[in-house]
Amino acid sequence: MSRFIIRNPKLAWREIDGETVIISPEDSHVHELNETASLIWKHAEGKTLQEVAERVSAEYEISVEAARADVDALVTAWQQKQLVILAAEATG
Amino acid sequence: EKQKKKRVYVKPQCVSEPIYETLALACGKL
Repeated sequence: MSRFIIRNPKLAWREIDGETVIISPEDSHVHELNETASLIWKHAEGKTLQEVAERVSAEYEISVEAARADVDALVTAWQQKQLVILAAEATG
Repeated sequence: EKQKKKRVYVKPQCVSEPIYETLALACGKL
């Protein structure tokens, strides 16, 4: 079953020169994303991991399979930091 | 041509730290 990435609505973020800074007021942390992670963050909402990996592969010189492994690892880390959840249905 | 337009891939990274540390660093108070 495909699950959809949903960003935590309580976060604030801003993109600066292609990189993204996310402020998490609940635990008073700041999260800095490099350019690739920023692309994933920007296109993650309501998408599946596979869809995001395909987007990364379209933008960068990397296969979908390799991108998928990195997307999985990154989104897992984001889940642990409560930046996103994986939902059974896309919202909105 | 499409391949040529693709950017060089860099592994995605997310660096997290307490806001306190960021503020302190910005103020030179570490």
